[in-house]
Amino acid sequence: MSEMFLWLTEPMSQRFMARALVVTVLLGISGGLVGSVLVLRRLSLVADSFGHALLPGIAIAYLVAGPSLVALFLGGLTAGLITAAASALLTRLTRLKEDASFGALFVCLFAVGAAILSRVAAPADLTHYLFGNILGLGAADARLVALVTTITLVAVALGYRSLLLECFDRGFHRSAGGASVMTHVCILLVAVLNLVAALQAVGVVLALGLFILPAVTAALWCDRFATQLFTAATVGAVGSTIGLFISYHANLPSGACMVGSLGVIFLLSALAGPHGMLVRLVRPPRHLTEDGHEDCAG
Amino acid sequence: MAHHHDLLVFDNVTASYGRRPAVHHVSAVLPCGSLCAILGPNGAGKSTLLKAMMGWLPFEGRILIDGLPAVQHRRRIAYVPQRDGLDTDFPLTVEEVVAQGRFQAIGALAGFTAADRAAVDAAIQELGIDDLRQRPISRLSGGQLQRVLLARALATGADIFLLDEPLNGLDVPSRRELLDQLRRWTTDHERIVLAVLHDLDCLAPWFSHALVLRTHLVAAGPVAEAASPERLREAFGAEVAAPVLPRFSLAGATVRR
Repeated sequence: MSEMFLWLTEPMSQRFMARALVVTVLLGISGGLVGSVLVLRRLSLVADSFGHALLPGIAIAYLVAGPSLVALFLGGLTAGLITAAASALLTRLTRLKEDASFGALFVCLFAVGAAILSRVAAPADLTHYLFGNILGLGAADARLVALVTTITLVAVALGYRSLLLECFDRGFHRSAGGASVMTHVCILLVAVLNLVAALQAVGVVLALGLFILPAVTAALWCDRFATQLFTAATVGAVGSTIGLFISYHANLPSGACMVGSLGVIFLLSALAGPHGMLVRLVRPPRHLTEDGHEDCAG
Repeated sequence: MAHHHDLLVFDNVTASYGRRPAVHHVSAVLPCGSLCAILGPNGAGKSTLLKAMMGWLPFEGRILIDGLPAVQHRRRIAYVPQRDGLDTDFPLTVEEVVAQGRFQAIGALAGFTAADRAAVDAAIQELGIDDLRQRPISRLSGGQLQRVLLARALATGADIFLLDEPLNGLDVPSRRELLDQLRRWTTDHERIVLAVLHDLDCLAPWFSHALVLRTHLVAAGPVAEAASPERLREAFGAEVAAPVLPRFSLAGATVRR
């Protein structure tokens, strides 16, 4: 027991670890919330493309302004918005569907970004952006993450009903006077904010894991929208914190450990959760007619 | 100006996507308590007409409710989307879906008042889904989900309902049950229901009115006249309507109004 206690407290004596812990918990909460909305709105692949497409924006910002946090943030944000606009154009003006447009664009942008970044940054910096380095976070990075988490929490609280309708039934949302397009834009905008915030900690490639894994884990446990959001935020915070400690003690990259830890929780849930595979195998789904209602889906 | 009882009036309505009109020159009059089928082949403008009513598409002409433009009565119109487009694994219970009907009235943050809860309860009672209240929507049949969506529309406080293909994917007993319910629902409470339909054999004896489209208006009015075999043949073309018509004309003979 005392070993466990030490395992948890010893890293906290280091200033950078204490900061990393705060950032991890904040990112976990924020990522779980954003991820749940993305998964329920079926935008997880779009968010993945965003994550990759941010790279050239960051690379160009690095080229222009050096490793300035604000510049990187704005660069990433601009790249995300350009990707969204370009893929909307592709979808409207060609026969390509939305997922194909995003897919085609993001590999192009990722290639450009990787090429630029390899010329301007040291190789260590490149892997830093690809896979993250939470132990190298500065105070400014932590403030940025805190700001983005606050924005996310406020957006979810104020827009809860709009988000619910937008994710579940856009047609009804619109018919009930809801700002469907505005809600959609806000979802994408907050997703980009969170991606940029998560970049330092876990990197472009793994950032999505921080969003999607808590969300799909929660989906395997919850039958209510509100509890699913809450569970995803909790799983995100706890799971990535476990990953952070493992990364410290095993001297492994933080991003990989955080996402890996979330991945293990997800796999266990998929196997043994109430909506998991074991339940399905042991107890086959009931027929609706057994519930005493004569009508049946066609 | 429309007659007092003619609640819903389409006056020479032409709606377009971009510059191409998708449905044009539609005129029709629907009294209170009418259950109206919107019929026509694919691409005839059935859904377009619903979208124009919702104010989602620009249109020329007039759509009037009680003599006033429909846009001024937006809260009296409720839209019931196709079930196919919904994610039935979404983490919601029946009661939560019906409660969504009150969101517009109470806004983003306010809690449910006693009146809001009463409206939700009344809608649940009227659609007969009280015993399903706490059930996740993933464990509903198609007919049950359709009733939940109707209850949500009812909870908004609307009295004009636009149903986009409500019968799709339902088996024959569920269709009958739903149509019986819609019929009672409409006539007992002086509501108006417009339903986009694909199957002509569901018309009689449930629907009182029909609006037959083929990008232009083929016919509108009481179902026996507007959806007569000649009119349907005109809308659907001889080949398509041929296998349907004998059954329909048999059923059509039983229409009572």
